[in-house]
Amino acid sequence: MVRFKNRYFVLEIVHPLHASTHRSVQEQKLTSQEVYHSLKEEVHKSHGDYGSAAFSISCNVKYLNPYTNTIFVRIRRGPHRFLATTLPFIKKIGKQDNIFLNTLYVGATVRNCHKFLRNHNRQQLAVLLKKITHPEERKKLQTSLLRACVLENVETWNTQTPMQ
Amino acid sequence: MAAFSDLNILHMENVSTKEKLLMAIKLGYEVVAINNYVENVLVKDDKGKSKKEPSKVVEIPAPVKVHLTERDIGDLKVKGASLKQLSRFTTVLSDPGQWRRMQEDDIQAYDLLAVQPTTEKLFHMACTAIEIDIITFNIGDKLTYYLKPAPVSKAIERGVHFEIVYSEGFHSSSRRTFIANALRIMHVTHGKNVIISSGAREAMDVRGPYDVANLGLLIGLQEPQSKDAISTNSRACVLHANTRHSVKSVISVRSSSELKAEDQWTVEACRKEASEESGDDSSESAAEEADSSFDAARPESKRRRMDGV
Amino acid sequence: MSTPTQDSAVYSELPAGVKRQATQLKLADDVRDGSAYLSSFLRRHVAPRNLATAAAANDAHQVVLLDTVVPKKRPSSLQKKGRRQLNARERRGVDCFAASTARQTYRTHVPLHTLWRGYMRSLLQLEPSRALAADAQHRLLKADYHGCVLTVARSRCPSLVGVAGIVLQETRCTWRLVTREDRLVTVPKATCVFTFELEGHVVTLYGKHFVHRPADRCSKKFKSKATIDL
Repeated sequence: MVRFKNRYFVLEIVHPLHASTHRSVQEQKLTSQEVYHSLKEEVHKSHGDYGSAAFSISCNVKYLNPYTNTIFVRIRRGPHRFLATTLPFIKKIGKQDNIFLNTLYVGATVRNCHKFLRNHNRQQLAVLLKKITHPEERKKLQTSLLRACVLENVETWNTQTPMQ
Repeated sequence: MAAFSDLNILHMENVSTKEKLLMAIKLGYEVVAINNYVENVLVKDDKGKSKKEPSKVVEIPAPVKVHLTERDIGDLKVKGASLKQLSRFTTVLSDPGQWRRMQEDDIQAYDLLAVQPTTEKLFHMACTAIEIDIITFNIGDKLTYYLKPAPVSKAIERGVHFEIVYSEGFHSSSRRTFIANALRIMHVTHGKNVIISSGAREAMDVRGPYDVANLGLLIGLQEPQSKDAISTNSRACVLHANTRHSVKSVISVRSSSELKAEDQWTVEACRKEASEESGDDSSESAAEEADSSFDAARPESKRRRMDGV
Repeated sequence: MSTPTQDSAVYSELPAGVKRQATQLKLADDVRDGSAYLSSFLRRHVAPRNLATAAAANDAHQVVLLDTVVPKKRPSSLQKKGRRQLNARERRGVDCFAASTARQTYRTHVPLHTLWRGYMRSLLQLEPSRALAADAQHRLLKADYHGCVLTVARSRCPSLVGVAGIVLQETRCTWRLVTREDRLVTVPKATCVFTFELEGHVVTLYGKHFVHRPADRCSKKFKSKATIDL
């Protein structure tokens, strides 16, 4: 039988830079349903009935991280072009109004997407380390970085406070 | 592959350009051009004819460079990259006399020059005659002239690039016009020498490089072509802009003081030779006094120097 | 009965016995006399316009060609005598551009570089403080670079980047440099960008647009190219 192929989009919801992230997590917690419906609506606007129909039979929101604003969307190869060309036009998802989506990675397997996201998050931690100036926050961040890279001593694991 | 570039980040007085740059950095752009848009470089008098008088000359703002700290470009530093800022000047070409004004030093000081022609004749002029780098269009409104293949292919030969500004497409009212105009440009250029840029008025107008490449797919580019539109073609455009400062694009001459520290090695061999030459001169008198031993070549070179110079 | 004269190659006299019987045979006068017969024969059979030529030719002992003869072409190698130009193969065989490797030391060519600096100084009227005049910049396009210390600043081939030396020979596509290590290097122009410094000015040559013989460069009109990319 002909191979059943998928495309997995790793998306990041980008808020305005000056907006505080705490508010967006607590007040406007995203659900995968909201994401699905927002995407479908936009695909309908760009590609009409055919686009949204193709989207509805093959698209799933596979992973959603409200803290890092990362989404995995799975869609069959073929209709994936409808989604890909619609993504730049999306300006709101669910209740979150002033946002846009940034495609970080497009993979053929969810495993590769996870691999990418792991490396991406590590990089983001390093970037945050450059930006955060508050000493306590810096210390917390350094601890979590060490844990991520498994460089910490095993004995000290139990004594450390968990990351918040 | 060349670095991702966004060659049109509008510099506006009331909106922070730094914020737009920070957004571009976050999304992964390594080359950014800050665009100063001046609608008319000549001043019109009451009768509607443009004329230039010393007292009525339009003030052209100086090229803008935003100061960014190490922390600001952290996103790029982590990947081992850095942000390159270029300056760009865009104007609406509504009169042939404007080109003469554009050849003056204050406009030529910009890294990139772009024009937005308003008529077919001026479009032809922009494609074939004048030395500019980018031709833009008012992509949110209907194009008032046809794009003919002949001047377009001449422009491609000369290295002039055609720009598609995507931020216009985000307003639902102008999305259809945006796609229509973009398709027109695509048909006539066949995807060659096309650059896609944000034209960002605010930070939220910028999109990530992969999303912009997907936009290219939407308007008829093939996948490799659409990736080129934000990387390779932009790089080619910048290189073409550099030829303006060279002699017939064969030789470029700069003052030694302008040479950056990391480029000093390129003239080291020359300098060594020059210093040895001057070193020989100073030791000439000393050699005549003292009877120091020189190799066979030395006395010959001294003789030649006295004859030749 | 006269013996046949030396100049009568076209005819010979009638035998003596026939001549003796001429009256009895009722031979015409002109038949008895060979030369008279010849001229009457010619008058009867040759067109008047050609007669004079024939007679003159006969008198002048020349050969009259009755058919046009196409002269055979001599082989080209024998056609031109004396001085002729060597073809490319012969030029290569002569080997006039080869120099003994023992003589290719950097030090022996330093005076050449000094000479070149003086030449450039006078050609461009250089002053370290001022920018180079526009026409001086154009003269750079047609200048002679033998003796210049060129450095390969950028190249498509990574191993060529950083190569620096005195120019010994310029050909259409390459530059032959002798480096400080006394190595003779042939650098292709098309894939490299070269730099040199002169009196406080750094000059960058984009080799891609410099692919001409030095002799041709003098007369060539340079047009602005699309890009200075490698």
